Amino acid sequence: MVGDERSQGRVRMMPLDVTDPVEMRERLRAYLFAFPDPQDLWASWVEEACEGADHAGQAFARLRSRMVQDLAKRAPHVSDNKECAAFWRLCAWLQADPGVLAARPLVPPLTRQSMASERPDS
Amino acid sequence: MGKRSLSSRVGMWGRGLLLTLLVFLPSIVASQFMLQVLPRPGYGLLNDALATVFGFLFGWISIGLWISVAGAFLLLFRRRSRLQSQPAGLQDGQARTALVVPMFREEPRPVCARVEAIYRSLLETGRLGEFDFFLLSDSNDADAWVEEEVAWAGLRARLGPEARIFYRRRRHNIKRKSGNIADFCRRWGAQYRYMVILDADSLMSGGILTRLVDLMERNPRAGLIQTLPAAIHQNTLFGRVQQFANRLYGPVFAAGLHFWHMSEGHYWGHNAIIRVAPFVRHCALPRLSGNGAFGGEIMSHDFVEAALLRRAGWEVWLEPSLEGGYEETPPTLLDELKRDRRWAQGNIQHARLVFARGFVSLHRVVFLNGIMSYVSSLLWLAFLVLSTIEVVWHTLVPPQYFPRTHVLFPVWPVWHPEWAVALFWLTLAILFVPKLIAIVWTVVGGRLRLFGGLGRLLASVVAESLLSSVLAPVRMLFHTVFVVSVLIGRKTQWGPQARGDASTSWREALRHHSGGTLLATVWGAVVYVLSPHYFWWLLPVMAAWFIAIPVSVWMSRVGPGVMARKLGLFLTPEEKRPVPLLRLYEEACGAPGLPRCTATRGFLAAIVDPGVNALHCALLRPSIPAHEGVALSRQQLILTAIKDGPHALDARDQLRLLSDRDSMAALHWRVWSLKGPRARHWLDEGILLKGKPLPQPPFVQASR
Repeated sequence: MVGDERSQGRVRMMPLDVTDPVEMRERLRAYLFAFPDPQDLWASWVEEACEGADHAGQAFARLRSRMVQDLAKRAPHVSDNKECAAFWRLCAWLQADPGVLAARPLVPPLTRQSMASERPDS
Repeated sequence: MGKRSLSSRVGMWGRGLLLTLLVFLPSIVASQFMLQVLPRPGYGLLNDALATVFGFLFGWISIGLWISVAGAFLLLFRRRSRLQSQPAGLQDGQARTALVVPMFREEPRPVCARVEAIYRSLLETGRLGEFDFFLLSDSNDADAWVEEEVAWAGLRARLGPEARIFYRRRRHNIKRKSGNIADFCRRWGAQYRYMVILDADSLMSGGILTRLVDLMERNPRAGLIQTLPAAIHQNTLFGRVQQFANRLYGPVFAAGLHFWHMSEGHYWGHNAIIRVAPFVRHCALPRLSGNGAFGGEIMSHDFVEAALLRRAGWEVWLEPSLEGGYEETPPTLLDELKRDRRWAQGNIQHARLVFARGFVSLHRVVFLNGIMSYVSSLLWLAFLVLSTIEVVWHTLVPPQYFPRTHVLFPVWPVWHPEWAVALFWLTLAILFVPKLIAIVWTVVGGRLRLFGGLGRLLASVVAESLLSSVLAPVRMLFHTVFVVSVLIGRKTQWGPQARGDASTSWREALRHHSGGTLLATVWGAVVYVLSPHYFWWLLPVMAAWFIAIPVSVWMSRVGPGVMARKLGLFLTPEEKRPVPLLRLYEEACGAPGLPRCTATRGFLAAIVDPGVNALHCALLRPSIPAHEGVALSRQQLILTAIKDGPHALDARDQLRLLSDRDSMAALHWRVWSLKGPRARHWLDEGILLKGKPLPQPPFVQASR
């Protein structure tokens, strides 16, 4: 209860994320190894991300940074927005070159125009 | 656009006058003849009603006859089209064309396979560079949305980075398909001179597409050219019968429509090329005032868009001579009837537009024709009811031999059954002559081989006629119900179209056809007791209703369809002479899908699968700073999802989450970090169990 002296200091924050280092490594491995090659690179990334991490959320945050760094190396011009970790995943999944994929728009640029309204029942 | 030339206008009026005379005069004569056929002395009002209804029905079926006669004339004398058809290359290199595929909760892989086949066919023509493809989704289901994106990504991956195939989903499917196309026109229409509208089941070869572009280039007054799609890929008996009828009778009928309508032709909403600029300028559909079945959004938009284009001076052509366009038809009777229910509502709504300002006469006729397609069923049933009342009356009420006093001689009842038989045969002839014309054209045109030879063709026509005779009364009963539903203001929901080899279960058939069976039993029994002679006249209709349940189930099965094919029945040209485009489609269907990172599908994949989540986020607009309430609501959704898993989210919640890029990215990383039971809501057991070998990617998406 709020204000109850007996309960003060006894409220424990229960972590929602994985904290066990072994389980954390397995979770990251499961995530990264879902992508096609190079799998030896993924192993080093998992170690790097989990080293000293308190919980899986932190490890995954490091992994995202690693993805951004990798993208910056391979295609510097597309690594300047906050979605670039997702773009890295897309390239890894489709095994596509980031530069080529970024150059092909998913939809063409808009050229807006309006349609004139008609009143056939008038 | 300028006004039509004088000769064109005179020609149109001449044709209109000729068709009017050909339909109305025989109808009046038939109506009068019916009055003579009916027993005398009769009941004046009842007889007049019967004769009037018969006259309408006679006129309605004779329109089909004259369309077919004109079609045969055109085809036999090789005068196929009035469109300028000299090949013309691109005149200024600016004739870019968009192939637009509106989708609504369709199975995405076959749709993408069709696009792939069209793409490869266009590649073979060497003119692929003139075309871009747009998959325009209106799907309002989370799973369907995500699977469409994955299928599209797989298509792009197969065709390479150069493929200009784009996917877009609308958040709000305002005005359904017409709104979807209008939305395309507003966003990207200015980049294209033409657009080809395809249905999700449409297939068009590169040859017909480039020919359509050339025809538009060569005919600068043409605003729209509609092709005649051939029905394909039917395996159920019902589907095969419809497919056969489409392929045998369709070309003659379409040629007839071309003859009568010329530049004021039909638009069926797909497999047609449209000049974008006038479409944008003149074809925005209004919302009809009022509520109920006659108000609101225009449901059957295609006829209206054609009429609006023509009103603005642009020509609308139905060009049946172009081959290479295909579509699929409903596989079962009930699927067809579900579609008809929507179409009935859409067509009857056009009653509001028949007298609208500025439309050309023939497009008013097109509206009326669409309305009559369904109202004629009501008239047919009315005819049966009235004739039954007439018979019952004559049976129960003794004739008055001396209706007036002070007469010496009795008035004997007069009834000419032989005249009734003659009228019956005349009506049948009008119904069957178009079939005979199609057979003659097939023989004369050297197309017999494409239907399996003369013997198989004739056997197929006889079988098709018998089955159609059984189905027609069932359709009539349903269409009557649809018309009455619309008239009393009931609205129909527009759902996804059934495609492929569906079949009707006994339960479903019982639910939909048992009313007709009961009606046939009661009606037939009453008539048999009162007038056994008349019972035999009613038998074809009553029997069709009585056996509708087993017929509907039997015809919905693939087995009888395959058996008919083995016997050489209902063969079509595409089955006898394989078409390269259809081979490309089969190959595309067999291609493996995009390998997935996880085994999840649909909404779950968009959250969990690293690849699918990235794809989905890439296709979303960047999240914009939201109102505080919206932001809190999204946070609440994410917390609910984390706490209780995907099952705690209803369809609306799922769509809200899928629509926000930041929420999707945040939830993706959260669920991968979760521990214990909460992770189990989202992640596969294989990922969660310690020490268990990792699942082996890639998970290949199953073929169709």
